[in-house]
Amino acid sequence: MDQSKVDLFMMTYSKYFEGHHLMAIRDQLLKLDDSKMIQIQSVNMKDPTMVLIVSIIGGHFGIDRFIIGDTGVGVAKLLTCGGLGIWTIVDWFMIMGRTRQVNMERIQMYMH
Amino acid sequence: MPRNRLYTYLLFFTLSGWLWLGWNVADQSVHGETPTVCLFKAITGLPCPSCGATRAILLLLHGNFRDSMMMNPLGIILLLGLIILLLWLIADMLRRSDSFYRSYRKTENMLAHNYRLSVPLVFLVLSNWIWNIVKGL
Repeated sequence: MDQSKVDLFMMTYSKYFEGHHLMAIRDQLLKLDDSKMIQIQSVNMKDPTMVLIVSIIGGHFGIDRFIIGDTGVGVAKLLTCGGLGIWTIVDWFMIMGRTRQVNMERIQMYMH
Repeated sequence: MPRNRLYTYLLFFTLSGWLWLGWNVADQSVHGETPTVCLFKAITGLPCPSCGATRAILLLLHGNFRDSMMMNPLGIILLLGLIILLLWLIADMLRRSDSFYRSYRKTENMLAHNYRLSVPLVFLVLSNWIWNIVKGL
């Protein structure tokens, strides 16, 4: 793929991934075919900051976990008063990392 | 979510659930009232969908099935969940198998993609929540 396109993509989405994944993603994108770009851009990725805000407001009901696709854990949080209130607070600190991980998993599906 | 992290998470929270329950069983004989750990209730004063579950389980342990269902039907589901989760997770960890993880992923997929199943469940939880608010738990 064209280097300028890849760099534009990396600039736009750099906060969606863990710092140590960025170089690997860039290398993989450069090797990819141009036709895959549309697919890559249509991947449903979540903004970690947005998920953090949701987690602070609705984390008690597991809404943050539902949004990033961890439905099972979301149900567990919903049915237990946010894991007795502990899990809600733990997730305020964990959810951004988990969101970046989920984004990485989703984009990986299109890169091979 | 990767298997090992899920197992650590769930085992930790199942154990804290048991500790919380055990403490309440021991404490209730002294005070007769359970304290709240619910953030939502502490902030807004309104109960959340699962408020009253501990009291429901305590009523159930005293053999009071009808009152337990009236308090919060989630109590019995959560008690069953606590028992099954603890046994299944420990069995899986001892045998180094991932049977729980596979069923977890299957259920998760079903809930996320099968709207005929998930929408009624959402309505059940919502109606239980409204019932909780009306009851003033």
